Amino acid sequence: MNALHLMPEADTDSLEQMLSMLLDGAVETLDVSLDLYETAVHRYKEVGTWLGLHASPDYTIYPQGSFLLGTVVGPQTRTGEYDIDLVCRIPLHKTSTTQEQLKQRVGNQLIAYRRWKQKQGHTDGPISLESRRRCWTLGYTGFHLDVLPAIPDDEHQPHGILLTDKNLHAWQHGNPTGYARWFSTRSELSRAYLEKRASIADVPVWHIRSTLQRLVQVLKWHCMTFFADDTDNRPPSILLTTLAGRAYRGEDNLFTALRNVLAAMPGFIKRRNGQWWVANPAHEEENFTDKWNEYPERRQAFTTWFDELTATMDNLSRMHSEGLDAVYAHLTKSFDPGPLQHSFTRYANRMKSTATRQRMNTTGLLSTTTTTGPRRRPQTFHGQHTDARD
Amino acid sequence: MASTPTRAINLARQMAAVKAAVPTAEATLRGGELVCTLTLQPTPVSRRYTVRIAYRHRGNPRVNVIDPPLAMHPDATHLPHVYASGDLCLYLPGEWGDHMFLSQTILPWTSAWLLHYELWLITGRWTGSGEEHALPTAWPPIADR
Repeated sequence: MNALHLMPEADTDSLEQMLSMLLDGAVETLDVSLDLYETAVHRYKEVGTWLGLHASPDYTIYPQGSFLLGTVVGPQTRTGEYDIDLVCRIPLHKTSTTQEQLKQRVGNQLIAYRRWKQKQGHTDGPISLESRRRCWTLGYTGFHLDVLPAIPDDEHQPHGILLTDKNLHAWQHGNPTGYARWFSTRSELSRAYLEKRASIADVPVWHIRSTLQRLVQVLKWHCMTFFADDTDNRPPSILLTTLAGRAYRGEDNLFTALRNVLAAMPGFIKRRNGQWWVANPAHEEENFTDKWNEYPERRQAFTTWFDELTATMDNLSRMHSEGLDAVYAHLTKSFDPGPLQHSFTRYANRMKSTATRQRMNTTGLLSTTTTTGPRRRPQTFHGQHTDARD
Repeated sequence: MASTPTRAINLARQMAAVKAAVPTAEATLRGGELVCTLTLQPTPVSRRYTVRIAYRHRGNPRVNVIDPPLAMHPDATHLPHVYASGDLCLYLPGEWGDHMFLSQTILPWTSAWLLHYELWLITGRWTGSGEEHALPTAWPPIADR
């Protein structure tokens, strides 16, 4: 069970709705499952509670990045695990600690936590603990928790933080909470999303996907496939997410939103003092296209990817009567076929002959939403073979 | 003119109902046989298929796809749910009876057949049958071949 996009499942009466449903079903398979989500939240909350009791009540652990935004496209590791980014915020002033000391301070706590888990005989503790460039990584079955040590950024309160980076002398500024709030307000431009969210108030917000979240997942998924063998030049997720968020205008239909966003996206890549510039909406001084000024091939790579995705979507928009299989073949040229197979199969099962609510309109269109046309009686296909490959 | 069996819907009424359901359908009624040729497009991205339905009382409706020619999934040796004669298998014996309107049964069933045929070209599995195939809950699903 995965988080659901609240697109009315049954609407497949137009090409746009059909393509939206198929893309939506594909990225849904790449999203974090609700089980994994709940396990991960449970694990990091326990770390947070432990820190509060054993270190200081002022230590806080909270999620950031795609896990917080609800735009995960995974699994990201070769072993099929999800990376979940967390911030461990310790209320110190930057004059009273170095990056290295902060990193070690958090590391020591995590080492102690892991030892405590083992001593208690708990089997749900972290399997591994490693130090990385910017974080500590706790390994669990199916996912990693990347814990980024951070202190408050006094100049950017309430949510600004300063982060450590082993390779950089200066503290890195960040505002993941502010960014998530900005992204959420962009999602809420969709009235259907707001209404749906309000109508099922008993479902946690995290379990619902907006059109913008799904759109970002499609962009990231396409980008991952496109740069599978050239990860160095792959545009960063945060850049795609930011451009999409800025360009989004509240469309409910995923495919329409994708095409509109792609059309508007280049307009949000700015030049500032001769530099390529896409500002972090939650931290104006941060430029997500910083690297383009240093490595022109990165911008070139972005442009190549962007043109390819735009062409794919343009072609799809013209596939009015070429066949579902032709649409599938076209999609598999630029997207990983696995999730697509899953999505098409899910649709096939939904359109099973046992579905009695379908009607057929005057052109043969089978629909679960139109109220005109004769209602289709249930049917069972008859034949000796249900699977021609047997 | 062949007599109409009891309870059976007479062919003129069948023809009128087909034309009402699909106004562009061409239909003829000769020598006790109703022949309808019509175009069906099961989804907005599906092909437009020309289909021929032939039906006489005391017989089963026979359905053929005239255009475009039906293709094969690369792993398949034959088309599923098609009789040796080339007629489509649309239902189990007993599911259809001559007291039913073609327009409410055979027509949408044919459209559904075409939808599942296009999906079969992709997945190699026929999803249109009454048997439940449980969807894999995890990705990737375990290969069942």
